[in-house]
Amino acid sequence: MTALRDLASRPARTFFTVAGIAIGILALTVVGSLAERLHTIVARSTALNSDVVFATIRRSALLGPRAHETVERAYAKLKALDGVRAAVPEVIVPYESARASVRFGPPSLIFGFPEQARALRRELLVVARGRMYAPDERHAAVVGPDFAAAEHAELGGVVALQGSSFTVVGVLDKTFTIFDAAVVVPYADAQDLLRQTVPPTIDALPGDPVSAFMVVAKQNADVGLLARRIAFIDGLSARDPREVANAVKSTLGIFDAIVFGAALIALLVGAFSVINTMTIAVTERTREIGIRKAIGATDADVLLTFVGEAAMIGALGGVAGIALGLAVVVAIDARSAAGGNLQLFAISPTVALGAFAFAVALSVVAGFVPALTAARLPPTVALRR
Amino acid sequence: MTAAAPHAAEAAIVDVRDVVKIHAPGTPTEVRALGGVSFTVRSGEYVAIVGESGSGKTTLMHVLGGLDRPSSGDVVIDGRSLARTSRRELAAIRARSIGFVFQGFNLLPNLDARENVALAARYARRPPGDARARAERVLRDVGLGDRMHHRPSALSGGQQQRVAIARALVNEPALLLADEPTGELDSRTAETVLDLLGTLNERGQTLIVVTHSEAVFSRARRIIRLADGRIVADDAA
Repeated sequence: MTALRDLASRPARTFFTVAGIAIGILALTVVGSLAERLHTIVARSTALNSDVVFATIRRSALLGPRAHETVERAYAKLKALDGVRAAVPEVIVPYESARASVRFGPPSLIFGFPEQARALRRELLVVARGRMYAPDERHAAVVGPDFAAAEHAELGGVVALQGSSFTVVGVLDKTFTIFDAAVVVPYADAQDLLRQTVPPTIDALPGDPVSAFMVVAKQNADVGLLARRIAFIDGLSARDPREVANAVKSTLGIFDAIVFGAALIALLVGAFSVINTMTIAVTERTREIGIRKAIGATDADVLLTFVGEAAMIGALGGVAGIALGLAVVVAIDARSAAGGNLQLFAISPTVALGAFAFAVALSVVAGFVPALTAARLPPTVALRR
Repeated sequence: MTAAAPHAAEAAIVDVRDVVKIHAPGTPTEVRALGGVSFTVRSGEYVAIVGESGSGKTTLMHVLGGLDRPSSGDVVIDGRSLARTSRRELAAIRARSIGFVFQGFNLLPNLDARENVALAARYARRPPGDARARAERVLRDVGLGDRMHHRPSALSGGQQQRVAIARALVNEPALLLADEPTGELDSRTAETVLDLLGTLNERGQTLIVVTHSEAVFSRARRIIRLADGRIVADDAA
């Protein structure tokens, strides 16, 4: 409290020093929340897909002569591979919005799964409102929350998918995966939509068209080896999920370094202002230091007095910076959510507490040398000022 | 003025043994501020140290108060040698055994009267509750019971000096050291402060006052005169 009073006695200087720290912490909170969200998304996707290899059907195979036989043969070989627990077909069709606005985030996709595949995806397909379509139902759609916001797809309303009308029967829970911006429709409907994507010059797709196979590996199976084996099957391509995850993590690491580096530079400027303020404070209050020592203060007492003030600057700057940072990310996310865009920020106690602790620690470090100078002042020298 | 010789039975509170203090030794600006000063102050004495400007009285006060170390010789306060103590121990002696009263009051402007006094008790490692209670008691003793929560800027010069005296007394020190305690007060207020110091001495408080004011040293029962860093007269000797 005394530290706060000493700071309050010099309001303008305290305000600008606290503002310097607050700006740095604001930057750190915003980029920290951004990094937290991206890491959550990557960690979640990696965990969900750690035992899954996606075998995509090559476009050439799908449109080539005797496509049906090629796909059937590939599917049979896939199921027979060593280490495969399950292999189920999926239909994935890009969604083309009629709206002019540009969305930020992953592209919206239309998914169709046979019942078996839907069961394997149950963690991602939790219906928050409404219901899942019935097995024999047609032209029903379950939409992701971001898709619902972007396309104003209300429960009970109608959405146009590639020109066909679908009734929205359910809205999925937010999972921070690609399904937030997706639409899930009955398998037969998805196959119809896939057929429509084929250029008219091409004769026709096979009778039972698929886009990819979701291959679930057996426990302890080497998914990398499995992906390489799948890639050798005629008509299929596959990537090692660990390679994909590593590539994403590596990109994320570079992103972290750049954004945290920028935030740290902002904070460093704040730290210099703390050093400046504390140095001036020690010079101005030299006589006070002498008085404190004359009445019995030890070097440690004086050190603590000034370090306490520096810590208080950090705490005030930290609280102000976090509050401003949270206001910024909440405002941006609210705007993003309203437009159905990816919510960029994850506000977590780790980010807030980490930023606060960092602000206090940085200010203490910045204020330490001036405080030590104060503590070591001989009392007679200090009293002469 | 009565030159009262210290009672032989009283214990020595201050024992100054051949103290030499040289400022900036070995440099062109070297100054021999004290050139072998020795004297003893016994419990309950009221001593004035007087001298012209540059006689060494401020240096002597700093050495007596543990604010500065002698270049040679020793000062023993309440049985503890200042020459052979660490900085930390010296701070503890200043906190518990010595009370300072300065010419310019030297109160901390952001603290109220009670907090200024309690701060000295806190530096003597007293718990916060005890420090506050002591501060309130001693402020009432100096007649400032109704000014506890006033900051220095809201107090008159005389009241500020009484807060400073309360701060000096809060840890019941063996020695009260006052440096020109009435230097910044008008004559009427100065009388009040000197009366207070006199009362404290009558209650047994050992008091050393450094001054060049006759109004101040005339109240003392013993006067030590300094000139050129040496004692030229000690009417108790």
